[in-house]
Amino acid sequence: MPFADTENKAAIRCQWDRALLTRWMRLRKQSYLTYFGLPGPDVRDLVDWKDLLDRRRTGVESVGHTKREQTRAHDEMGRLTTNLFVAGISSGFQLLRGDVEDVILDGLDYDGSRPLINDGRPAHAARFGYDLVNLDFDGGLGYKDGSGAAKRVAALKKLFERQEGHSFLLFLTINVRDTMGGEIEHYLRGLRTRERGPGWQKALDWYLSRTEGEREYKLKAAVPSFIQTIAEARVFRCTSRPPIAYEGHERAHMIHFAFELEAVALNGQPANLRGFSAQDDIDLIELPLIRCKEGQLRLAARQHDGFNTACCAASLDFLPEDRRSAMLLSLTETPYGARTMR
Amino acid sequence: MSKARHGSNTEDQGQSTPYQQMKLPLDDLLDAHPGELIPLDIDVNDIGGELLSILSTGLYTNPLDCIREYVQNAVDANAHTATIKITGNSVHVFDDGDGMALEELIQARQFGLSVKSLTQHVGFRGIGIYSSFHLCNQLRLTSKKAGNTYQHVLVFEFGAMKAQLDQDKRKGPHERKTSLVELLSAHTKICRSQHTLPEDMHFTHVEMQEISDVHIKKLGNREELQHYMIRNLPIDFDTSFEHRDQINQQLQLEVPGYNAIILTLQTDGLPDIVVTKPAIPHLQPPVMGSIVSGTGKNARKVGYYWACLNTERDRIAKNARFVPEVLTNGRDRHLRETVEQEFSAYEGFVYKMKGFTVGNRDRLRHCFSPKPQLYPWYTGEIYVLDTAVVPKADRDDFETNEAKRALDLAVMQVLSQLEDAAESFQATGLADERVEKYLVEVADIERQVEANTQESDFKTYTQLNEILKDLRRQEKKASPDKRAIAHDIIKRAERLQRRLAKETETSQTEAARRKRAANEELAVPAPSHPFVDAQLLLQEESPRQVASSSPPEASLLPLQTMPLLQSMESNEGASRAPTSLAASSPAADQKPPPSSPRTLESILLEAGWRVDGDCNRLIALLQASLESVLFDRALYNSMLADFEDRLNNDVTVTH
Repeated sequence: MPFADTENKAAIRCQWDRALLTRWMRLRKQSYLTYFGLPGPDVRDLVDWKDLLDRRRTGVESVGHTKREQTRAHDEMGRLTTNLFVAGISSGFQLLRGDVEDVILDGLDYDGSRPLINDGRPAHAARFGYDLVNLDFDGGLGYKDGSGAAKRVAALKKLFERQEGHSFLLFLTINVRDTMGGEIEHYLRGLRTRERGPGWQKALDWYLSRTEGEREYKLKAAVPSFIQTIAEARVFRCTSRPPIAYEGHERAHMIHFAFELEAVALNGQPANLRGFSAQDDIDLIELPLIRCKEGQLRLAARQHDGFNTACCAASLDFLPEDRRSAMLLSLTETPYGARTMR
Repeated sequence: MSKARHGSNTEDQGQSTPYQQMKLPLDDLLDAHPGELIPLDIDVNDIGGELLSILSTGLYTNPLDCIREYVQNAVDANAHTATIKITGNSVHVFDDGDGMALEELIQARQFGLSVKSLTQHVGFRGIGIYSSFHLCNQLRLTSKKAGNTYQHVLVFEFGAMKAQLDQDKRKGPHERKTSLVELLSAHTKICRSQHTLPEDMHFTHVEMQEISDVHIKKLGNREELQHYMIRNLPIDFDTSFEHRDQINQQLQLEVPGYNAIILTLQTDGLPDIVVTKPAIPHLQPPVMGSIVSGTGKNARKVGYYWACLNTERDRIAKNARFVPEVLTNGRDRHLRETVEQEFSAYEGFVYKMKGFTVGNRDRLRHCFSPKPQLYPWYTGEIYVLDTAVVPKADRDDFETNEAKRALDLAVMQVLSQLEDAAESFQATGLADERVEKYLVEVADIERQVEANTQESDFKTYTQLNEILKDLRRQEKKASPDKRAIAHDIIKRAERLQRRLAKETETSQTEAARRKRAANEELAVPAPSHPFVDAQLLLQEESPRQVASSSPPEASLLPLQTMPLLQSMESNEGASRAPTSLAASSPAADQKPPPSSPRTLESILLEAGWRVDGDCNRLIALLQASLESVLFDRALYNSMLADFEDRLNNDVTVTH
């Protein structure tokens, strides 16, 4: 279930995501983008991007597990559809019921309906063909079940399998809190073992030394790397944009990621081995953390040790000039010097 | 049966009976008033919850009926547009009607009570809202009225109600079961929520959640849903229908509460369908009028009708061939058949009550009993205005009563008039067709007579006689334009007859008549066959004589033949060109006669034969025969050449 809308969330959607969407469409000469995601009862994303989206959109709403959740789910579904009609965007919208993770993993929703854009193969093996996947979770990256498996992570992996061969944009919003235990730290320690130049290990040590109150930094370092890894394995070229940390509904600490995923093709046919992204480990670590406060997007006052300004500018190339300049000027507020790992 | 409850309810309303005021137990009351009928109160617990299930299943056998009920509510709420969306296992009906305030929502949930007006509104039984009881597990109504910053949501938990009723069924015979009031009270919820929408916005959203697979499959059949909606709801005409505005404006004036809506069907993965009544081409402007029952002071308006007659004098379905898509895809037989099938659903007349259909179009076919084949030439609707005429719940007919009988009678009279109109239109059409046909035939005969090529005078005369006989009949039935044409044809035919009679009486030889005809053709250029020039040159008469012998009838020769003659004249050389002019020009007398084409007579004369008496007549006959048989000039010339050769080589011939 997605979070209720806030000023910060609206700013991210309209200033950040929208800029990415328009750039993506311009580069790929696409008129409209098909959508798969969690629009939430207020369908803010669908309304704000309605001029960019194709009529074929699939939204997923939870059915709830407890009686209380079920009542809430019914209410939210009702609100969602009412808002679709009121906004005049109900045409072509498909509403699936269930957990989005289940829909991605099983290829079916709670009622056995399949996402609108699929290739017709059996549900477990069906490929999707959405241009935009907006996973706006209210929870964290992973909640392990009794067996220790994190369904959300598994679903993210499956999503790349489902979308294989079809380029898409992925917006991922998660709560910085999760029940993954030490998995994020474990992942960062694993990254640290790679030989990536003189400042590499120091930078990762900086991330690893963040306190529990600064968990967004750890996620900022781990998630883009994780997504790039699973994307490349499914033959995508992945471009990660700077993560944005913000306070969401009821002061929840949230972090928003955006990824451009280009399916690699060879002589017009999908390639099979793997994708190679232009960004390497260092580029991903060098991505700045953006903070969104009171609807304003700025570079976070605190960046990792060895933060590289040049990389920062390149990762913001999709923003309009004035907004990018304003954001880069805020870099002077950074208490750390401009150093590089290369 | 409850005891000692008498007077509890009615007393409060100040309408209690003397017996109820006594507040005695029922037993005592009955004992106190033996043989007397005593009013018996019904308690809320006397009506079981099962009634809801019985009514909703009994009244709404088709899941489409439920959707119809909710769209009808939209119509009653003055909606202009409504959308039916089927996604996953839920169905939504959204309309831009007036919306409902809290008190209206409360009224809407009442069972079997309706505040709706019989004349203005479609629904009036007060159970339509429960029509989806068997269909879904939850029904949600979200409604916002203009001027409110909030909206209300009314939720019926039908799933929970059904579960409770199932539980009741397992109870023993003496165990208390859930009453209707308890059932509805326990599982109906309402809430108010703030909205950031513009204050003037108004809508109602009906949402049926968790519909079973079987039902969702049925509802997902878009074609069926579309046809059902057109049949059962006041659906507007396609905007391209030429008589749409005229009919709608008149119906809005004459039919209280008439409100045609534009309905959109939205289904997952498919393009939207805008449901409208089709734009049937080639229809006459609508005939509209009131249907009145009774006469004089007892006359009262019981209905209003509109009817469009097919201009093509055929079934409405056959006009599919004029639909632009069919015209552009002429070879697509399937497309034409599909459109034909669609149009055939609109053939004839149907009863409408505030937009929904009662019965089907076959129901009124019997009104065209003398000429049932004319019934599908019409498309039309009959709006029932008499509130005493009540449709049955399943809307296949009206409940039988006096008002229904009066309506049927009045409708039969109107349809009978329409049938007459169709018959007269048919007769006019046929007469016009005949006039067109005779116009061509008489022109043909004129040409033949002028050229004297008719098979036989008698036959032609008889043919003209038949034409005249029929034409005089058709003239009366034909349209004014065609009547004038018929009149003209009659005159021309009569003139031809007179001429033929005159010629028969003079008993000229065929050849002489041909010669005369050929000369007449010179006066007005019109060759009937390639020998016109040859015949002309057979004449021994001077051009002046030719001109003077031309009868006045020659002027009737159609002018369009002129270019043909001119082309022949030019082929024959300049010497013939002034021929026609010669008739009127004295200078023409001085011109040398044109060179002679070869004829039997000239060949014989050249060969030294004497041509006179019977021989001359024989040769003239042979010449005429050759001319009528050998239309090909080359063949004719080669025949003459052969004849000349034989003549010259025949040594046995003695002159």
